[in-house]
Amino acid sequence: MTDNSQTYKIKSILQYKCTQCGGEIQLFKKHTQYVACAYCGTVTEANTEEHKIISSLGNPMNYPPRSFIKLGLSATIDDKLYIVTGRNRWNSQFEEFWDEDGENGYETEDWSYDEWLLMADDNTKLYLIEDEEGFSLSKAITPVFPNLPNGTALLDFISGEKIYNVQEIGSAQIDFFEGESTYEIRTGERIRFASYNGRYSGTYIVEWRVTEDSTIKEIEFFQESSVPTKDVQIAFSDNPSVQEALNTKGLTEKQSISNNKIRTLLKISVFVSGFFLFLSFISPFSKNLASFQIPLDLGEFDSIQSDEPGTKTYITKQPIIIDARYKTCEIGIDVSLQSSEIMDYEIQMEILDQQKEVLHTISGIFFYEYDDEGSNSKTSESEKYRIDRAGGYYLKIELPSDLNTINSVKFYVTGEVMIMRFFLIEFILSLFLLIFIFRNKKFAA
Amino acid sequence: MSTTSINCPSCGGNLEVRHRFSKMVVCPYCNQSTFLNTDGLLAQGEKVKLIDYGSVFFIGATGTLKHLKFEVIGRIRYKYADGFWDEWLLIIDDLEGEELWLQEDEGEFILFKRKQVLKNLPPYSQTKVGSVIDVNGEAVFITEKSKAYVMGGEGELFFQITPGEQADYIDGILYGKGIPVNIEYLPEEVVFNIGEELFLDDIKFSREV
Repeated sequence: MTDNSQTYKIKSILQYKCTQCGGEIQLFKKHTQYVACAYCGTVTEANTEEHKIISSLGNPMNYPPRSFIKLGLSATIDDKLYIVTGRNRWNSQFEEFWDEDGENGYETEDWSYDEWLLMADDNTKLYLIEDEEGFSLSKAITPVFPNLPNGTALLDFISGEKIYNVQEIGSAQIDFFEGESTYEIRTGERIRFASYNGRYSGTYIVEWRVTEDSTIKEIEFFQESSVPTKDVQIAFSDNPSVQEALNTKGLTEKQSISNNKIRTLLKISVFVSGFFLFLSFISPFSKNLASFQIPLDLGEFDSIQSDEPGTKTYITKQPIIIDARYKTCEIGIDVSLQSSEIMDYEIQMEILDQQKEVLHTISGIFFYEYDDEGSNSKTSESEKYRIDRAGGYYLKIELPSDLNTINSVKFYVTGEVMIMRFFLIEFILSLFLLIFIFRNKKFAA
Repeated sequence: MSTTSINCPSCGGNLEVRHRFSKMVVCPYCNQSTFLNTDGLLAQGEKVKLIDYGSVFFIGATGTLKHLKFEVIGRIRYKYADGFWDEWLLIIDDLEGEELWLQEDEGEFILFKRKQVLKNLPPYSQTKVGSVIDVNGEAVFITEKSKAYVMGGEGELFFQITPGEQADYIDGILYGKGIPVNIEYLPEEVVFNIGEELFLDDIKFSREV
């Protein structure tokens, strides 16, 4: 009696018609137990004669792949050839651990990702996880110290004598499935999961399925590590369709690297603009360059003849030095009043250059009035003014002659670094980068 | 190896029993399971034809598993909520004819070696996934438990099975060793198996039987 050893093949079902819509179903793998119709999305048993309908998930049209990866493509990973056999679109809700400034806790997150099933000829299985942040590879493991999060305050995961913080803990369910599966895809079934970071070898994930009465039915363990997009492209680069996508749709390795750089630039730009926005609120780069109060110190001011009757005019004896750092200035007048006082005065301030030529003027009619219906007032006036160059500048102040009834008046010059301008530049740059990345993403899809 | 010829009690087809310890044989013509007892041949349960998914294993296959010579003499298919799995009965020449069971599930292989259960295990109903139980003085972390039943068989087996018979099971991991284990709760006994993960690269088939 002679056998055909490794080439021995008994008749196996490699294609049949969908029980739901009659669409042609072709299998990649002989061991497949469940398969989704590419036309209507209905999941049927692959290895029975009746091909019973198991479930109907989403329509394939509503769940296109996120990138160039699709069913049937081959990928070479660690010198082993895999075929893309199936895809699950998961949506998950979980608590994510955070730790900042000595405080920590968990915050709720929602996440959607695709789980591509990659199978080799020797039935080795890998899961390629794809989400909006990139790719990671996951494989089932048999841990030496299997465990579940123990449910203490920070949900520690105990592995042997080591205790790890659980980084994420939550649940997920499949919204869409295409291709083939070695286990039954159940509509609406949620799996629970928790992940923690191994010291040297990526992320460990424990998944457990529970029954309706919350009894745990099965626990599986996975090891997951992130993979750069360019490495994924290289793994799939033997496929003609991928080559074409790489060459014609701009998904070249070079562009991928470029996209990554742009993403990094975007992050930096957003961070910097946020930083400037923050600075603009707290104004750490502003400086009081000059400040004077009524009554003016005649040691600092010269009284000059006023052009307007009923007014007095003063000019600083020494120029106010404004260096290049503070070329953007705010000049202003603040009037402080006694609450019971009724007043109405016009006050003016001019900034002059070295030749005593007027560069800028601010003025205001400051008043305070009230009647039976309430009060109304104007007690301050300020403007931002940008000087052409650093140097010495004079202030000229024109006051009403009867100013003595006013409680106090303050004139000031404050220099500012151009924080807001930097913020706007960074903000616009961030917008451009964001639009560029969005366009590229749509293009790649 | 001597061969005994008998006739299937259901269809009369010729059945060759190759192993003297065989208690069950499944007719390759009508798929009837037959119990070989001292009183003669007893047809057992319904005739069940197993759908073939193209496994590389088959009854009569020989070769080496990690350099151990084997021969496949029987198969049992179990059905559970998530599908089915096969267990192939292997005779290992290098281990004086010791029997090993090769589990083939979702295309993955685990080679199980039966171990004697030295003290009573907790009943199936009292075990919980995620808990640890003591088996022969070792901690077993339970990763899965499910109700299952025998779908059918093929070839020869050293014990009696009946299609439809309950075969609840527990899968687990030896804590601290990372070794897969399995406990089968059969109607007449509880069986403890210690496993070893195998890949197709570990299996070499010979050309002749």
